[in-house]
Amino acid sequence: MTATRRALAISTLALLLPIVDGCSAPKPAKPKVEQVLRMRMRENPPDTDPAQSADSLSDRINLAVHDGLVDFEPQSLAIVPAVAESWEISKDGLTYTFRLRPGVRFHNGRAMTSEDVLYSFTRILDPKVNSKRREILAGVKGAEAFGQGKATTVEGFSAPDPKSFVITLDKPMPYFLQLLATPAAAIVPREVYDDPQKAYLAQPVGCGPFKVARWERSNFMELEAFGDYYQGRPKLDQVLVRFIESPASAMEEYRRGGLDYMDEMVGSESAIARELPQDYRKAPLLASFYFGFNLGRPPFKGNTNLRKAFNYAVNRQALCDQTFEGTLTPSHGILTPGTPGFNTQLKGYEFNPELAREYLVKAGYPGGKGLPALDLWVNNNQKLLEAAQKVQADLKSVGINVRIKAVDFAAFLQALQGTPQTPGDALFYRYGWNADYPDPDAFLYWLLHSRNIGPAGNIGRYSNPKVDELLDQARSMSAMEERIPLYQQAEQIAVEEDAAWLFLADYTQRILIKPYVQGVVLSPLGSMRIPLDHLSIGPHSAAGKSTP
Amino acid sequence: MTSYLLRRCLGLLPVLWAVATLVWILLFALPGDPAAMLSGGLRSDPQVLERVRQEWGLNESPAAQYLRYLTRLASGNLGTSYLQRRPVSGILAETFPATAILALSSMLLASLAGVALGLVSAVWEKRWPDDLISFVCLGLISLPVFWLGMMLILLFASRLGWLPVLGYGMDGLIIPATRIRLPELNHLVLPTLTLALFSLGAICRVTRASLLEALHQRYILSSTARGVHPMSIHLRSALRNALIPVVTVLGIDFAALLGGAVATEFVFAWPGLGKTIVHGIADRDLPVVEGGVLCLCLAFVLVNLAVDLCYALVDPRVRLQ
Repeated sequence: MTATRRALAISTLALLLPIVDGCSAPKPAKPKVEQVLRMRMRENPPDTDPAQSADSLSDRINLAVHDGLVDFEPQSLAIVPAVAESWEISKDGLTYTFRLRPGVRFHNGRAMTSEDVLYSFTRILDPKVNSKRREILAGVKGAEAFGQGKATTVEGFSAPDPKSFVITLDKPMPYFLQLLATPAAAIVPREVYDDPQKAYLAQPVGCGPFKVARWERSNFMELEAFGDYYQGRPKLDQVLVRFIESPASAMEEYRRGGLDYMDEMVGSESAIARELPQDYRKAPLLASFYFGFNLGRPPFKGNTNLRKAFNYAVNRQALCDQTFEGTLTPSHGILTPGTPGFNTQLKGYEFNPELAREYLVKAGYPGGKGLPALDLWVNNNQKLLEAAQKVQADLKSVGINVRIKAVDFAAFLQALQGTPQTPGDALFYRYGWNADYPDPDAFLYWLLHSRNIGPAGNIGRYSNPKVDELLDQARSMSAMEERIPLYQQAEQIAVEEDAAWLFLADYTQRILIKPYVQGVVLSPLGSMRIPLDHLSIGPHSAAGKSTP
Repeated sequence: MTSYLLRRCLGLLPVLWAVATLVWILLFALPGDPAAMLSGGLRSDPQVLERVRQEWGLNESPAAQYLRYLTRLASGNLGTSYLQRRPVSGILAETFPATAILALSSMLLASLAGVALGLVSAVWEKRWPDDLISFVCLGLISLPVFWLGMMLILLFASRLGWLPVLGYGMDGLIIPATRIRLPELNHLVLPTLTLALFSLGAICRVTRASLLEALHQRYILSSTARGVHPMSIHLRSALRNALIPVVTVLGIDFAALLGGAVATEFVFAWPGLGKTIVHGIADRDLPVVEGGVLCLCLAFVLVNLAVDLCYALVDPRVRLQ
């Protein structure tokens, strides 16, 4: 038998040999290329056509590849020149004349002219393009007629000479320049974007600081510094975007040194902040988190007292401190700190279960009796589920029974949205709102105006003629100091009189970025606004690096 | 043989039709409106929403949509991704190779190691190597893949630093005349190991059982009596006769790996088809899901056909008719 065993041991080894060989030692990690930023993205950017840029991933790539006439200074959010070197606004606030900067080139080498601006902006309004961001230019004179096919050009756009571009509006829009600083208002070359095959989706061409050099979907995207960038070549030679779905795996890759920057964390954030104190950065974000009521259906329809009872029943501080480990801050109203017009005087709702019970009596549901069990719709996400459970427990303590209904995002969206005419099925749901531009209008107009009831933004179907009037009035005035009191009044009515939704918290943004990355500025509009063209890689110890 | 192949291939058509229909019905029944997902999510312009519905025919009656879908498939067109706005066939051509490479490498590793361990187990039947291998195999079958993957990352990438944490690599070889880029070898190791360890248990157990049965046959006794070398007995006589059930398990496992490697693809950021289909479901990118599932179904059926052909190679007594 000994011979048998020996023979078998040899044969087994022979079988295993190729396996061992297959696992041969890895190639030594390549020395890190200078000035390369390796960042993680959850998945591919869904849309690299700026006219369709409507999510943070697409915005991140589009902001790196494209530029518009103007831009936001990332931190102060002041409007600064981009492709336009200067502009004039007529006294009536209707005509904007932009003077284009000389020497602006697209990645394909062609010099930009005002014809390109005309093309890009007309394209956003073109019904054939069906841009998701049509609303940024909807206030331009003749935009509607063009959109309906009644005109072949947009009356409000003109390019009198190659370096000038004029926009005429229907009504004054004090935040119009801010709309032009959003990623969708990018200037793109006609010869690339007129392609019916849409090759530009795989190979976008813009005039921004980085060009797409290589993109292997679900694997990586290489953004290469554009040498002819009109604001000077970026300091980084390359931005390597790595698509890593699992935050846990990405976290390990970050720890190991294969990533310089990531904007999603998994597990306890306070533990991560302790583990990587130099890497962990936190900043305010113009975004709010709340649970919405469907005001188009009972029991919330027409029952302000019930809505107030919900608002008094929830302990926001505990929600922020315990569930979110301090990464959210309790909110008293709609506008977030940092938004112009943020009202520090707004009282909102404190945590007061006694008052909640009183309002329940006034609402006609003493002790919650007679109130049917409500479904609280949440899209699948661990943190959101925990938040829903916390709110569920608080409501239960005053007698309100809520069942959590966790579904995937598409089903969630369908249950909420409804149409402008018909309310959605969800009566009570998790919701949130990110401002695209730093103006009270970016929150209040979209969320509260009855014109936007349904998918346009006012999913809760809030409607108050007084608020509509205030918002319309504020939209048409140009001086910020005159507009702010109107917005504050509208907010106060929606919050304190009408209790339009269950006000909960303001978001913050948190990222991990290696301390050797220099020039990092976190914008209140979100981490996708970190100015990649201002970043550089400083000296650091080259510990274990890896490529994707 | 030719007529057998022809018949099997014809038999594919009803299977593909049934799968295509089932996928379509399931996706149709799934709550969620693809048009809403394509029009900006929580904030979408009602006009844009309406045009998106028209563009993709989502406002047609279910019967009309199904008919259009079948006609399209019958003409060999898998459609266009709603989200990526490019042909689904292109997306499959990009993602399927990554999944197939991973499934192949793990199958290779799992079958070699599984058969080898099964052999050891059978020869040392009821002795400590057998007990040890049985215990390990049972453990490997029971472990969830994503956990196993994470543990391997923590050990081999984070702790020991021998291998990359995740990814497909950027500099792998490109197969000539195709656009298929192979993964870098060191990037392939951990995902392969994860999947192989998962499959290995079943292969090892089946090999052991089948081999034990073969080893108790009279021809083994007769060979031993004639003084044939024990290694030759085990490898040439017993193992060959024991292989049919093993090949069956290998076939099923391989086909399952093609479609079921999703968790591994997630953990290792592997740009494969499984992950693409899951994304397609989440985004309600229906053509991608339909095309992806059909592609996997086709692969599954073809692998099974290959397994049937293998029977004839392994055992000359099997005749394909």
